[in-house]
Formats: sequence, structure tokens, C-alpha cells
Amino acid sequence: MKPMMYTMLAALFLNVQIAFADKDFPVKPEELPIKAKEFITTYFPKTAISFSKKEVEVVVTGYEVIFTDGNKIEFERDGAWKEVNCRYSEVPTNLVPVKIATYLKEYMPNHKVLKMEKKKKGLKLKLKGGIDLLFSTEGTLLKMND
Amino acid sequence: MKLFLHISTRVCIALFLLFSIWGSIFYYVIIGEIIDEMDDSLENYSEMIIMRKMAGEELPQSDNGSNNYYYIRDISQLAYESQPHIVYADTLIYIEEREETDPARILTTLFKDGEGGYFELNVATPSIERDDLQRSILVWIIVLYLTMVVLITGMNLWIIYNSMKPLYRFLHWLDQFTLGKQNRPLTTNTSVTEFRRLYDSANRNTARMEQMYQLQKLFIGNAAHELQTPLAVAQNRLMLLMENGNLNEEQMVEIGRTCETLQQMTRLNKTLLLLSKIENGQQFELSTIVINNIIEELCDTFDEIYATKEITLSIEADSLIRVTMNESLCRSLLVNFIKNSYVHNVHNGQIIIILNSSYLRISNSGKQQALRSDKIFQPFYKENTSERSTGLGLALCQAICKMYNYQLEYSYEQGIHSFTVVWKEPLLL
Repeated sequence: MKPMMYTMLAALFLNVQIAFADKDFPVKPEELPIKAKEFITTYFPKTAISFSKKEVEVVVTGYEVIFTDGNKIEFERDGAWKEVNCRYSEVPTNLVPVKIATYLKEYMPNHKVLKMEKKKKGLKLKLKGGIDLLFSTEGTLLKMND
Repeated sequence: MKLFLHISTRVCIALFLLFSIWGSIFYYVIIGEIIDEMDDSLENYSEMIIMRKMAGEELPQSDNGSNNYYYIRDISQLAYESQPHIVYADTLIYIEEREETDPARILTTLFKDGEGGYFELNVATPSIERDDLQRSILVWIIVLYLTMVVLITGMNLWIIYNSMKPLYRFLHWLDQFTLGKQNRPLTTNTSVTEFRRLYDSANRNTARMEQMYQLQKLFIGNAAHELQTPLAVAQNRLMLLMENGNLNEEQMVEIGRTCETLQQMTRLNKTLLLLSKIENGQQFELSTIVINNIIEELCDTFDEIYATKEITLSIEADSLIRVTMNESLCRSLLVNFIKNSYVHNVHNGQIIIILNSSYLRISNSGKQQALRSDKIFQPFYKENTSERSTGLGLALCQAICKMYNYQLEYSYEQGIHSFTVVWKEPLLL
């Protein structure tokens, strides 16, 4: 009976620990996953990093980088990008898939892409002027709201 | 403790433990989740400010009327490099607008710009609401916990008690069951397989017991009865032989001894028959008997027989004691006790008979050793291997006492053996 009780108590405290462990921790830019570092050097070569951190929920669940020009990128735990937020400038044009870029050039040439986000269904784009677009992974438009 | 209470108690203890553990885990997980949510909102707020600051956009008002609150200050490179970049803390902050100090959750973030500037950003949100929430969650968890424990305990008691009803019915039936009497069969009124099996096997076994008991009774009664005649015939023939035959001295002595053995056998047989009658619950005719007379008469007889032992006899009787018994059974009882007290006595010994309204005690001197009180009332148990003893005397006494609900006790003290018959309902005159 006694060992069981101890195990249960231990489990209880462990659980509490886990519950409280959902926090952010600072991470140096050079400690980011290789994939993430490559992404940054490819698409954001000039800008310096102001602040970078990792999100921890028992294990590392993701990374986040804020550049000195106010852009923000979120990464998955393996370093693949999840969200590119360039609210105060523009998402690098070479990052937008070709099919979507052509679509945008054709129908909305005056709207800059501020934010790009990977969703389950595909890619979600936020354009200047408050237009939200959802593209499938193949590049066809699924949803639009403006 | 009743079975259903026993089971319920155990279930309750288990539930109590499990629920306590569940409740505490639940509470801490919920609280953790709340703190997480709060931290998440602080993180978002902090990111938003850093992004704006970096982009050179206008920052929101420090105290914008919402609960969130922030301030940015420049720090040295040394401070930036020596301090952790993300710190969560619970402290007290002074809120100017309300002019009071409140507990708050603070997230401190260090960051830098491209031109070698280093900044410290503090974002805070008051935790008063969180504390309130925490308290009310705790209260509700306790309330829920107690309600659940009480409800489940009650439900358990009720369910188990109802499920166990056939068992209690069975036990009740078993208590009323007496071998050799008219017993009602146990009717099956349950659909539970285990109980049906229990009922079935109880019915089967009691029926078999009953049958065996009847057969045994019949056999003992018949055997003893059938032996009576041959024994009498054999005795008579030997008598005739002694009277008519031209026998010499030696043969006469031998036949005399055989007759004695046969008499012994007849006695044994009679006792056995009587014992079997009593145990079969046969009804004996009752009459009111004055015990004093019988005792005196028997004592006179045995005093003469065992005159050579020179035994001192004293009878202490308060008054005339009357009991309602069958006369011959009463006589057998007293004969056995008084005869025993003479037979097992020592030379120059003594016998004390005390008779009063509540008991009859016959004490005699004898062997300097107590008899085995657990064995002496068993049939055919003999302390010594005397030929004249049947080993049935005390067994018969006990059977008679049991039939009339008298208590029979044996005690030994300093060489005096005492047998006491306690009348339950003494009739005093």
C-alpha cells in the first residue's frame, strides 16, 4: 500500500510540475534548429535578431524569432516555419509559392502580403487592407474574406 | 459486521482515496492551465510591443485603461548579457490610476535593436482575479468531491444491500432449520445464478441430511429393540441350565459369570435404547416428582450395597423440591449420579448432596485428579477400563438434562468431584 501511495504522490507533483512547465525560455540565435537558421539566412539575410525564444510544454514545441525591424517568424520544433509575420513591412516575395504569387499579381496587385501562416488545410495569407485568403497546399483559393 | 457494510466501507475508503487524488490533480491542472493562459496573454502582449518598438511604430499607451500594464527602459549591454532574457514573476505593483498596490504577474523580456541599444520590457497583469478564480475553483472542487463521495456511498449501500437480500433470506432460513423437525423448503425467488446455486445446494443437502438422520434414528432404535429379546432368551436358557443340569461347581461359576456379562449387555442395550429415544425427541409422560424422596431412597440402597467402603453421606436439603419430569428419566438421572459417587469413591470417603430450589449438587471424594470435562459426557468415554461401566451413564444424564433444559456442570476442587444440575425453573414448596 505504502509504495503505491508514494507513487501516486509523486505522480501528483509531477503533474503539477508539468502543468506549470508551459513556459517560454530564451534561446540564442545560434541555438535554433539548423532548418530554422537556414530559413533565416535564405529569406531574411540582412536583418539582425532582436529576440529569440523557445516554447516549452514538457518538451520543446516551437521557436520564435523577432527581428530588429519588427518582423516575427514562428517555427515548428523541427525548425520548419509555421508563421511569418511581417506586419510592418512585407513577406519576402520569394517565400510565397509561385502559383499563389501569380494569382495575387493577377487579382490583387496592390496588396502587400503581411502575414503567411501554415494551416491544416493549406496556407493562410493576410494582405494589407485586411484581406484574409486561404489557399490549399496545391495553390487554389479556398476561402476569402475582406 | 454485516457483509454489505463491510463491502461498502472498503469501497468508500477506496473512493475517498481515489477522489482525493483525482481532486488534487484536477485542481492543480486547472490552476496550471489558468496560469498558462495568463502567461500566454502576457507573451503575446510582450511580442506585440517588441514588434512595434522594432518597427518604429507608435507604442500603445502605458496605462490604457485595460488591466494590462507595461513599461520599457534602456539597459546597459552588461545588464543585457548578465541577466536572463525571459523572467516570469509574481510581485506587487503600484497602479497609478487606482493608487493602490496589487499583486500581479510580471513578464520581463530583454531584447536589443540593430543599433546596439538594449531594452528591458516589463508587462504585467493583476492576479487578483486569478486568486479569486483559484479560490472558487477550490471551493467547488471540494463541494463536488463531498457530494460525489456522499452520493456514491449512499448508492453503494443501497445497491449492495438490495443485492444481498437473498443471502440474508438464506441465513434466516438456515437459522430456523432444525434437524428432525418439520422444515419448510427454501423457495428460490432470485434470478442471480450464484444465489440460485446456493439455494439449490442448501435444499439438496438438507434433504439428504434429513434422510440420513431418519435412517440412522431408525437403525439405532431397531437394533437396540431387536437385541432385547435374544438377550433375555439367552439369559433364561442359562438360568434353566443352572437349575436343571447336573453341573459341577466350576461350570456353575463359569455360567454365573456369563450371566453377569449378559446382564451388563442388557443394561447397555437399555441405556442405548433410552438415549436413542431421548435424542429422537420422543415424548415422555410428565409428572411432578418430589426429588428428596427419590434421593433418600437411592442413597439407602447404595449405602447398603457399598457398605464395605464405609462412606460418610450427608444430604443438605432446604425443603421439598418438586420438578416436572418423566419419573423414570428422573430416576435414571439420579441413579447415575449417586451410583457414580459411590463407585468412584475411596475407602472412608464422603458424599455430600446439596439440594435447593435452584440446583442439585452431588459431590464426592475420589481420585486426586480432575476428570476431563470435555470428554466425560461423550458416549462410551471411560476413565478406567472397568468392566461394569458402560460409558453411557453421563451421556444419558446429559441427554436428559438437555431435554429438560437443565444445565449440567462438572467441577473439581481438592479431591472433591462435583456434578451440578441447575434447574432453570425451580418449583418451590
